[in-house]
Amino acid sequence: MNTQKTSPILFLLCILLLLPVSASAHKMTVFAWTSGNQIQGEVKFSGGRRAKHVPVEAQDATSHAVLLTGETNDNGEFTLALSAAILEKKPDLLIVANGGDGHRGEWPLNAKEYVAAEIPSASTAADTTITAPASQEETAAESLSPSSDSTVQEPAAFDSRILRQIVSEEINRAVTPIRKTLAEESEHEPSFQDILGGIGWIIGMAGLAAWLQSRKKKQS
Amino acid sequence: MIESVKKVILQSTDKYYNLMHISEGVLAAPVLISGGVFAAVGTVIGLRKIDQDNIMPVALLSSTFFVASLVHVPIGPGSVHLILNGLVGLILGWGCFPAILIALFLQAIFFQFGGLIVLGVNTTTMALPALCCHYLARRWLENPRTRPAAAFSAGLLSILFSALLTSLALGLSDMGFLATAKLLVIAHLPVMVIEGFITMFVVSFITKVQPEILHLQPVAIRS
Repeated sequence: MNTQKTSPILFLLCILLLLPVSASAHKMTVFAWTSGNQIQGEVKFSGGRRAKHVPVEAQDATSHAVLLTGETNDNGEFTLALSAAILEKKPDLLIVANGGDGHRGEWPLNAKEYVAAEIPSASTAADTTITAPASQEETAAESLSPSSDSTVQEPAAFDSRILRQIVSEEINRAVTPIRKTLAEESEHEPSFQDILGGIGWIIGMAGLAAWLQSRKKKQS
Repeated sequence: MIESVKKVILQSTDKYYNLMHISEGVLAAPVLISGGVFAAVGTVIGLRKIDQDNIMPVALLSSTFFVASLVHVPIGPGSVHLILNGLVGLILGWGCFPAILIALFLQAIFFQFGGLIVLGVNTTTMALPALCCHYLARRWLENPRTRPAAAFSAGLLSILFSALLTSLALGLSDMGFLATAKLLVIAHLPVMVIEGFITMFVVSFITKVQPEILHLQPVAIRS
């Protein structure tokens, strides 16, 4: 084998390896969680840069029917309000972000994660932000007696409902940073070792090819 | 005109444009299949053209391509990375198909860039322009006076062709060809210029050190 021939390319490869290597711009990752009646989440590129104004949709994980659509904001975050139809059926969801440029990321959201969410009543359906205490009372009261217009409330049941909602909101708030950290941990950035490993594989394959060819030559 | 270019540049800073790693689940089945067929044919021809003397250059350029796309070039507000498919094509000719295929395969399984299903399309969008530039630039490479210009345009044009080919793949999968092409081409203007210069310098370096790689005895082409 002519070593002279390969030396310039080897030199170029070494220079490339000395340059700062980073993994930005290769992969789009979606991360989503539920909070109350909403799906919240963020879309990032590997390397941590946020994906702005990217369409996001929630699909049924099995049928891939699009159930909800939205877009990320300037911080790469999005909010999708869970509709009454979804809350009734509670299918497993797949959150898909499509950059339109060949980038696509998805995140599975199991029904278990939002099984506690309640169907919002008509009066609060438009109100997608975390409901104020006044409207919470309304929700609770209406879902307790949905058919009647009566405003009579049963104090004991009413209290436990509100309490449950408050507790779940607080837990969500506390757990969200942990979820984010976990999602970031699961993302594997290519390290220098990975890159050297890849080069090793390529050279190894070349060695194998050279050996096979030399064997063929010997046989013929 | 200038306004619309400005707008596209501003948009492009919000996103990353990536030619060689189309994600899985974006492309339509006919596009995936035809990309796979192109890549397979190119790889078979490329493998036949590689003889024992050329195995190592092919492997080294494959490694270079594998590493180049991890090199982040901090230019302007956007984020770009090197591709270097023009250089690979210029030196290897048909051999660029197996070289690029292997590099993209390893990136897909190691880093989940792109994916195995789209491997054929991604290989084709990278290697086919590289091969075109090889044949376009070869004649001018032999003349020392036109050599730098030929190398520069090979580096530049291969990215341009790749951007157009990627837009075509996305366009045939209902993403809209013209809009995608405009975004991809404008976002890659800096890379085109950078790679033009890199290709020019590498070629002039190789002609000084070992000219036979390029024109007297092209590496992956059995003369």
